[in-house]
Amino acid sequence: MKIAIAQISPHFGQWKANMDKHEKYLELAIQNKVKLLIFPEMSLTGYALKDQTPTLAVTLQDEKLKQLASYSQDLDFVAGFPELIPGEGYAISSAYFHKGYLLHVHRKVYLPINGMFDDLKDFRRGESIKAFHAGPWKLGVLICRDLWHMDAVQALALQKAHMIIAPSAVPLRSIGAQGPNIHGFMERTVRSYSEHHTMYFAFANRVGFEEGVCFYGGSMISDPFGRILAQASFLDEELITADISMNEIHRRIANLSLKHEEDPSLLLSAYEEEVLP
Amino acid sequence: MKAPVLPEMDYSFTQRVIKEFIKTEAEKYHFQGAVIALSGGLDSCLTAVLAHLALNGKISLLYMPYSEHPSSQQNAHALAEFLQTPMEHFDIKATADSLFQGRNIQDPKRKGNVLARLRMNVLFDLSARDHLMVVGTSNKSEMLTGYSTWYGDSAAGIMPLGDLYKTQVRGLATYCQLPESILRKAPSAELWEGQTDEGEMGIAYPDLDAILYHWIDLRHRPEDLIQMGFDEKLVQKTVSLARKALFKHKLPIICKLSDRTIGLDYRLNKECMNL
Repeated sequence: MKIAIAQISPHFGQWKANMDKHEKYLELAIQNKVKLLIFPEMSLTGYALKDQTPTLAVTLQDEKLKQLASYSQDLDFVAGFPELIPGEGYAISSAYFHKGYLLHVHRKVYLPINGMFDDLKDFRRGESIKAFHAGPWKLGVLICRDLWHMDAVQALALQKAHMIIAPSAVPLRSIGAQGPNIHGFMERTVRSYSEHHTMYFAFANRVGFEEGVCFYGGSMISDPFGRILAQASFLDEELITADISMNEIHRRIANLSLKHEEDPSLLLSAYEEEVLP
Repeated sequence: MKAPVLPEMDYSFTQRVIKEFIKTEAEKYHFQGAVIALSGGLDSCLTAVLAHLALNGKISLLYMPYSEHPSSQQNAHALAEFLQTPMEHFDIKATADSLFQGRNIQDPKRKGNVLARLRMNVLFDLSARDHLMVVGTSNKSEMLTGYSTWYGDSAAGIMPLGDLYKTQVRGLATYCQLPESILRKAPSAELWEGQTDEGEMGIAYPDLDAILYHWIDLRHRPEDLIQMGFDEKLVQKTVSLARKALFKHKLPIICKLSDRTIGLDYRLNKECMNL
């Protein structure tokens, strides 16, 4: 199956312009015979909305999401937006659209508030991390900071996800001799997760600026061997594609049977006996 | 123990980021181009080069001398020639002298502040006339240590070099192949004959930048910097300069009297101007 990442620069606060941009990339993906397209975190509105959050957030029943869902007849896709949860507040959400409807929503669990980040000021935490089926594939979504937390990745690995999809908005911090220092961390993280959990991993980062903060791009797709199958450039809007195959997961298990050896009961007993009390 | 220095930096990537930043800011707010005040020094010349690259040459250059500084003037002209961009020469001596006499200003530092704010006036007027983005030229070293005039050279729409230490500015300028005379010029506000930034601050930029980087960026405590091999007096001087400069990083402090106060809990990105 061919999958793709649309490494885009969303228009800040502009649903209509971003819907148009999504449509453009969906058409491009269809031309490239892509079956799953992943957009970055908050791809439909921009990231640091602050006081604009209540104005831009939508419920899952919103007409705009219904219109988006209608684009998923020919390919699945993941798009990000601020969600209004009636009676509860706001979440940073990414929705998985499949065959014309909204199949799954992940709400960002780990909301950073250190340094330049304000997520927890404006949003409530997601409360679960669940894998779901889309055709033969079992998938999981983690949003940006979620994927920095091993327990979030572990939760999906234990649910036997074949691929983690990670819509992100990772900003540039310092620049080293090899470019953005943060990219080394992201690459080590993505490759290591893939290899250790025998899964595919799609890190879909955005580009563009919000008030001087640069989102650096560098999106990538890795395979169960920890190899990078596709790597986007830094700073530019781009569509990257890679072929994924269940056979490669099987080949990796035959080669190194980490998936056979896993014993979730160890983790469960450690939690019950040492962490929860 | 030898004190650590600044780490290496990918100047090719740095240049790309800054170019994209300038281009994005100009496009988002529909500016016709940018205006930059050239002093003939490294920061303003590099800023002009980056803006020129980012905006396909749509920049206006202003040289606003108060007194004769032949090397600065030559550098400003050399830069304009390097970019093949016309440079407007606007002498502020008569206006400044009228103020100095009318207000009896003799202290060189007060004079320096008046000159910086006069130049700011001219820049913003040109911005209003031609709808140009005012691109500031300050670097992180001088912003952190307060070596700038509040609402003078610190006033701008954007500050592309504002997160680069002076040492890094020099590295980037070398990468961008600025004319040799500009690269060699000692940093100076040129308030009096022979004045240099480093002479006035009492610390060389490589030392200042290394201390600032390890203190501010890497969050080592000042006492730890001394253990790491930095000179105690230079650390104290740097910390003192940076503490005294904090007011220059702020918008005017507002007395909070309502539920949502500008700059505190009325939190909207500038991008919302487009909504």
